[in-house]
Amino acid sequence: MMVTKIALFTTGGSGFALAVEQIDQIVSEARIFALPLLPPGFCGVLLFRDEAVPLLDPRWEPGLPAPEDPSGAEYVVVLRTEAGRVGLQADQVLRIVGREKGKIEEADGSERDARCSRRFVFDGKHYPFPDMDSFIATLPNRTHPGVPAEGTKED
Amino acid sequence: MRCSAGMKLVFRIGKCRFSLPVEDLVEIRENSAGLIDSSGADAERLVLGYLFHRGENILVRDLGARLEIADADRIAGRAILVLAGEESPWGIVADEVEGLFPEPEFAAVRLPPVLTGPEPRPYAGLDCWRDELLVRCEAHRIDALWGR
Repeated sequence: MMVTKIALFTTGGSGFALAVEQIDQIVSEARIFALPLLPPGFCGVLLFRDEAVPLLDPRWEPGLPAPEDPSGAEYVVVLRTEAGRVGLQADQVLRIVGREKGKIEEADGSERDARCSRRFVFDGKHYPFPDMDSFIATLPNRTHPGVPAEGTKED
Repeated sequence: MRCSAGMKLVFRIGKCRFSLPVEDLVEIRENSAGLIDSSGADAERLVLGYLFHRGENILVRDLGARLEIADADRIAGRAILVLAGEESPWGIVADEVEGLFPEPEFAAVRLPPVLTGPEPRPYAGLDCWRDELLVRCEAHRIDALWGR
């Protein structure tokens, strides 16, 4: 995917960057629905264009701070990934800038996370710039432990 | 008496809402406090006890615990849903029963692939009902969570 524009957001008071080409829509005041036994990394789903879109749990986001309100941020950024659409919470949409206005580079030791190795540097600030496909690929699979088998009703 | 064919029950456990085909439902017992004989409770097997139903004692299982729905989100004074099992009925406890609604009001929504885990999956898909996403329940699939 050729990145020509970068969208900058804030969440939890800190910024992060996403490629505009990967964004389907930025949804405000999205209604999040709880589902049981979600795999690690996800905290609910939203209804988007008649489709259930999983919402990433901000506590799992690589190098990204959690939203100020853990029960739901102002915006959900709906992204296209190799695994399908996913949602990412944001408190604020800052701006969209042309890639040439800043620089995409490898994160240094203090910022680098196994799942977020890049940053976008713009106007003197560093914005974590996660590779969402790689991030989702690293999420652990969940197993559903069984309940011990039942005996007869007369047990 | 209104025909209930082609209907779905909507109920809630904690913050999660569910739909269930009426064919899987035998009976709804409101205000379940005191109805369950908890002397037969088994925490390890997530069994709350027994309900006396139509002349026999049937198991009442804790589906909320099996689905790891937080206790803090649960409420008392719940209802018992008696479900049709393969061999015999059994019950689950719901925090709120919203009612029976015509099937055409529900639209199946695929569960996103990233949210599906290995078998046995606790639920096969979702229903969109009045712009809300519900977990689509099936009695046999819930039964399978207990190793049947």
